[in-house]
Amino acid sequence: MRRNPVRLVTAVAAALALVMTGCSSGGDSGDPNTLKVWWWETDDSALSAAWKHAVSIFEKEHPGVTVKQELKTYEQMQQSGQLILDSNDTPDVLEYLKGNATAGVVAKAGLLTDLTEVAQSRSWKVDNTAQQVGLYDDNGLMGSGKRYGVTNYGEYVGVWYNQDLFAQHNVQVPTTLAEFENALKTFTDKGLTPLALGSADYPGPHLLYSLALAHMDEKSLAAYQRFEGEVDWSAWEKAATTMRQWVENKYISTDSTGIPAQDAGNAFIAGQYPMFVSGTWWGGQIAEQPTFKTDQFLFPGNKLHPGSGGNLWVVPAKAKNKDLAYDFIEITQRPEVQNFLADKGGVPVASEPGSASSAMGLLVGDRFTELLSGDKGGLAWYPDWPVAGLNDVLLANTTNLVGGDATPQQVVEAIKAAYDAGKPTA
Amino acid sequence: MPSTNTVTLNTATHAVTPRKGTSERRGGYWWYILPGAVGFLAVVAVPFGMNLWYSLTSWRGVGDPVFIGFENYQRLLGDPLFWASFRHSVAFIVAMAILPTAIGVLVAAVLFNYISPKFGSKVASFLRATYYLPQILPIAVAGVLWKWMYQPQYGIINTTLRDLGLGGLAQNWLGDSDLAIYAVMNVLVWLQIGYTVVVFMSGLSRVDPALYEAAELDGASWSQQFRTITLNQLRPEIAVVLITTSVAALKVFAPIFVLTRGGPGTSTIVPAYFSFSSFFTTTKVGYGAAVASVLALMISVVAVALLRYQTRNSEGFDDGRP
Repeated sequence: MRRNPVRLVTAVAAALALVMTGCSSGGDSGDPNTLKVWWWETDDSALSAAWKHAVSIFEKEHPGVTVKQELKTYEQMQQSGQLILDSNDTPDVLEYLKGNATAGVVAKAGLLTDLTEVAQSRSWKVDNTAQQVGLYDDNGLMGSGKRYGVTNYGEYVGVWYNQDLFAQHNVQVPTTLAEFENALKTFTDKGLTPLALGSADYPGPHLLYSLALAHMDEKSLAAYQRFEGEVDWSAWEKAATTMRQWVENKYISTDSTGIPAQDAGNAFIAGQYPMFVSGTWWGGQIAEQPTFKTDQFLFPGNKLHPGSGGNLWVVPAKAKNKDLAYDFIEITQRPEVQNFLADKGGVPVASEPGSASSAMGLLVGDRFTELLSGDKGGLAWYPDWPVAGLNDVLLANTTNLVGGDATPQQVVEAIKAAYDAGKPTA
Repeated sequence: MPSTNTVTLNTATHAVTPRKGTSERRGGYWWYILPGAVGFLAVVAVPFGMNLWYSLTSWRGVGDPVFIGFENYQRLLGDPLFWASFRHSVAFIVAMAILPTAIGVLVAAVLFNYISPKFGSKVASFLRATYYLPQILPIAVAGVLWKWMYQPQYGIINTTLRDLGLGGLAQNWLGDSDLAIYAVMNVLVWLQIGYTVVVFMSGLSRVDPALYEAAELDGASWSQQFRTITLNQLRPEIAVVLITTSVAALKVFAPIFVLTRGGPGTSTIVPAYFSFSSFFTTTKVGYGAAVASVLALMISVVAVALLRYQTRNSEGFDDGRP
């Protein structure tokens, strides 16, 4: 019998190619004495410092267990997170993006460990609104259902302001939207652009959302974020109209469409702008600049503010050492780690009130606690959360709005279209 | 593997007639194909097949893909963003293929026929190397550099304009939806010129100097020499450069990714970025795969058309003028 060499070569080539393209299965069996932890927070951040502190506590309490910490990047996790969770080489515990489009998708696909009972049996204190970001229902919608993740920190968007410039131009801290607009006008009349804005980046959509929240309540918020009833798009239209008006009144520079978030923040920190509408993640950098006094007020007149619990610790379904992972998550929730986070300027979710040693830590920490309690308002999450890919649509349309390339109506139409297209069909 | 292929492949072996007494060596040469075949299958064929399959499904990247036939392709044809991305591709063909080729021929000719004889070949080589530098720079670095230059408030371009008293000309280069595509095109021209200049200069070095000498004696001016000799002699190189750069223009991704991410709005979105964002940001993997398939088809059509044109054109150097 003559073997056909062509067929043989082809078969061998195909087999090797399949192996190379990863169609074969394989993976390492986990070492029971190693805890693999991944996160993407950079080394200079408050979170990274707090988590390293948690790692050292873990190592003290688990002699014989080595912790293998790997630093990933945010982009890596956003774009290939689900592929990693679906592989046989997952870490035991990792930081993961909260939201329907990220944690929701992988929770629904069964790639995460259900922590509901673990949280109960270990009596974790996760019964508050900050920890809603760890709950996902059967459709992968955030905010209710089973617990798949636990967050360590919180964040919210407010208005950072330059106290020296306010004093110099005799402007009071505004408490209503009308007063806010008056303040903006005062600065503009003095030849200053009042708002630092990087609308080529997340600050643009955050400002638009803050303006929309002025016309929203708990009910319309639930409709937008959780698909409970009809979304009130008129609130968005009013917001877009106001934002366009602000551009025309020169409260916002049209150049902002070419300016990323970092540049806007840097310009505020350099004292070039009186105000900067952005989140608590700027706290550390703003506190460090010595040239002028800064403070923060919440968006005037609003009951609801963009903000939420932070990203999550999740345990992959395929993790090898789940018990060690639970121990680690538990340590990150301890007051000693949480207070440490507050000291570094982060926003803790389980610290002891007033425990922060820095002024900035006290300001953002205690204000976040207030927002959690719901007495003065509440957290409205973020505008891009409801459906996957909405962030890009919001960015594109905010730049169009500021650049004058689309009318407020067209902008809201486009956002609505993407929102409706991305809605999960139950 | 269907056996029809093996038949056609077997006929090819008769080209190499084995010597008598070594008939057991027949087919032994096939093993030399193995590394290339493995690479091709692993890197091209298998992923391409997978991509085609995914394009016929609705899939979020996790779980099981659901077969939906040609629904993704139907949706594509009605998606204005898809068409916009292909319209922008035309602009990038201008910026990556046509302009750099035109400028590259001119620069190569100036370097080769003017700078080199007048100032020495060292100067010409140095200039050639500087033009080639953008090709060596990692695109991420180039992107950061240009973003910084284009920055509306403190970018060097606007700062220079303001210092010269031309503040009125300062623009929001990457943030204005009417301008952004031209700003990106400008970067791409800068990026591509090095490649075309290097290819054309090596092409010119094989041109017989006697041609130029004869033209010189006949009193042909530099521009006449350029038109009749340089352009004609470089025809094969021009064809090759046009093919490679046009294909690169259709595939362009990295410069868009680092400079604008398709923005502001969607004014600089291109098919590759559109496919990428469907894959990773909106997690519509099936849809992204459909975009990628259409793009692959388009590139193949353009490449084949240009290759045919090239083979027709580079057979003999007849003067193409009527």
